[in-house]
Amino acid sequence: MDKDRRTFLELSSELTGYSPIDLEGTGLVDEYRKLVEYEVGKNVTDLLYQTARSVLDKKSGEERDRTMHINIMASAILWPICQNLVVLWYRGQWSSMSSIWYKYYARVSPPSKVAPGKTFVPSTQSYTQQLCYKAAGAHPPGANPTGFGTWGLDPVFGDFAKHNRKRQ
Amino acid sequence: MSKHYDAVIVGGGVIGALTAKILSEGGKSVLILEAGIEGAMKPSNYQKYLRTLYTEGGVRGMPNGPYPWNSAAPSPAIPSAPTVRGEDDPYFVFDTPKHFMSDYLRMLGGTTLHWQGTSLRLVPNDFRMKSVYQKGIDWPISYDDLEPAYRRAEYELGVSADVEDQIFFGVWFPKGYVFPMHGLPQSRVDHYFKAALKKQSVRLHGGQYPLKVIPIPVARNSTPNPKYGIYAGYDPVSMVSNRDRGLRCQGNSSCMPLCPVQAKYSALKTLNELENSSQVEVRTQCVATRLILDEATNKIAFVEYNRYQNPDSPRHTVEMAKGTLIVLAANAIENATLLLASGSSPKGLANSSDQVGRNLMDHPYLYTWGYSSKRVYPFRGPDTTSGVESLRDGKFRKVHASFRASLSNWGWSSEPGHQLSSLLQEKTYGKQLRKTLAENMARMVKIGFMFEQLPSQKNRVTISPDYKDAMGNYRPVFSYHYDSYSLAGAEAAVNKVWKKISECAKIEDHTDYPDPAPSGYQRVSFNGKSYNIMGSGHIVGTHRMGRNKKHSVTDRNMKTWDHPNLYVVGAGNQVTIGTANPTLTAAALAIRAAEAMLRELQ
Repeated sequence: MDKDRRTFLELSSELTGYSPIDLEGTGLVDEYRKLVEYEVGKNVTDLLYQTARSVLDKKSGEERDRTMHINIMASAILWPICQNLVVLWYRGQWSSMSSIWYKYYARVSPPSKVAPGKTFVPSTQSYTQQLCYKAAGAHPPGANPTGFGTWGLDPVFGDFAKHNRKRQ
Repeated sequence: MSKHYDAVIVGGGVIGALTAKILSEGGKSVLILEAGIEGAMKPSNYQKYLRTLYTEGGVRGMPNGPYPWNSAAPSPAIPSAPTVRGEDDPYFVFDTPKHFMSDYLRMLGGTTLHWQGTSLRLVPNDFRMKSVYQKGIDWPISYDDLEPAYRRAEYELGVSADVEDQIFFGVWFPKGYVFPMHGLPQSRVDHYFKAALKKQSVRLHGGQYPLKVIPIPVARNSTPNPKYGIYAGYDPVSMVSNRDRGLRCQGNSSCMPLCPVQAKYSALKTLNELENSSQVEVRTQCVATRLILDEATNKIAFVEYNRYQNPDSPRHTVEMAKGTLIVLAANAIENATLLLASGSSPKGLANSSDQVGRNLMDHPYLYTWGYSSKRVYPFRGPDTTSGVESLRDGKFRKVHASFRASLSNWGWSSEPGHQLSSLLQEKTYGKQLRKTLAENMARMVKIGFMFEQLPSQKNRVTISPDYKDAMGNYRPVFSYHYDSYSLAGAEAAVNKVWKKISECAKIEDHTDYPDPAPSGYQRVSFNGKSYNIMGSGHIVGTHRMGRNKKHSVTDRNMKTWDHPNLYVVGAGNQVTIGTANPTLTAAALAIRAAEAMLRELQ
């Protein structure tokens, strides 16, 4: 597998709490990778993946968390990107980096098609695959309905499904 | 000059469609003039609007959101946050700071494209507020008079409910009556509140009232009741373009702004039935601009309308339609502005009472919310399946508004986004973030309280030559406020009822009304407390019916007192608003009016 793709996927997994397989299941990995790389530019992308590896290559969860705090969360360049990435996966929306971020932190000019600070839904699939609903055993309004009467039952998928199945 | 019709109907929404259906069944010829585009009637468009819903990230706060802007026949863009006489809304103009914050859609099918589907009947005392509670005025008809039309409306809209749940406050059904379909299953949220509020009550102005959670009747397909009708039950009506879809609600959780499978009724279904009828002609993109009076007979001779080709351009041709009867069915606001714009007097037509445009009512709406003590798994199912309906009538109506409390199945709506941001601010990520978010979402409960308003001469829609749309037609100008009767109801709802409910149901209360109010809400202070209130989209009262021509616009059959061939029909005929979402009542009124028209045309 493409090394950068692997890093993007593993970073997404570390940040969202969803396994790489779950994220692949949305069908959005390549679209989102392309989007993020375009929005932040090549140099910052390289920095992001390099730094991400320093976190992801740590063996224990505790160490990964510590490195995440030191190397990523403390970075005014990288943490805003990672926050956006979590929102992208959970809510299917991307807010372009701010003008301040471009000018003073990343020190690059925004790519031609980017309007800094603007929020948008990248594709219809981004909407239908929002992880926040998946986590809650629900679904985005208007997509992936759960079937007649299911609202009267406990969810049979999502994070509570195992617990509920056991109870039934 | 074109064909002469038995009836020319202005407006292709639920009122126009039902009127046309009944008249055509009686063998009468009908022309429907619809200001908007054919739009959602065309399957490819409907699909496009669903895609807009996705790409706009849900557009939930904005009922008109997925539907395209039409500058030739504009719709309000509520909820925006308009200022006094401001231009923030492209269509509505506001004369007072207390804004009218309800919208409607000008497109074939009308606002039923994004209504919630709630189909409660009014309760008998709603028709006699003056004689029972010395508030408002009495209707010229009673619940008993309207009961048969309610039944027909429940058939036409396809209402799901179980009769035994719906008998309260004197609401009655004929012996053996069942609704077309069984009630929809109640949600986990409903069960939670039902258990918590069992045998609980609240004290309001000297009386003790139970807090009963009741399933609400909805025009949304469920399981047909085999006992319906004389023979073999009821056939649910499918999606307009696909006979296999929408036969039962599948839990898309998107009644507003768009049901992807049309399991919920919209006027498209009735219009679709009429599509092959030789009796009914539907003309879209025709904005009625004036009624032309025949001075000799005092009858309406023609409906003048602007026909346009392109919704992005004001270019149009002026045409006339002629009918034995003229029926305005364009909703309470459009009916009123059309009457005011007609005739040569500044008072307009059908307005010798000076009541046209007055007594505008809506249900002021506010939310309370919190976390339940157990997981209730919201964000699934129709937006609401139950309500606390036991406060819709009572002696307290002498003092303050009655109200109903609608239990939300959609958690705190857009809140998952805010929660996500604050978790990230706290540097929560990964498995912990997923767990916290899921746990919070699973316990989000929200109640929407809607209050009755009293008819008031001061709450009105009018027109002004200063405010016209791109095509040169009048934009509605509003003077509107909430009176202390409604606000005292809001006070009781938040400080007594919500307090009691949240105690009994062990809710961790998160209700908060920030200042300034968020977009779409109006900040209102009453007795030292402030609330953020919005509209319900329940537009009622601008051409009320009555016993005499001095105080009302139409008679009990919705024929205008002033013009012998002009009917004005819809929720605008309601004398009081009560606490029922008005579409079912408006549909029943349309059925009553259409039957009167048929008698007149025989």
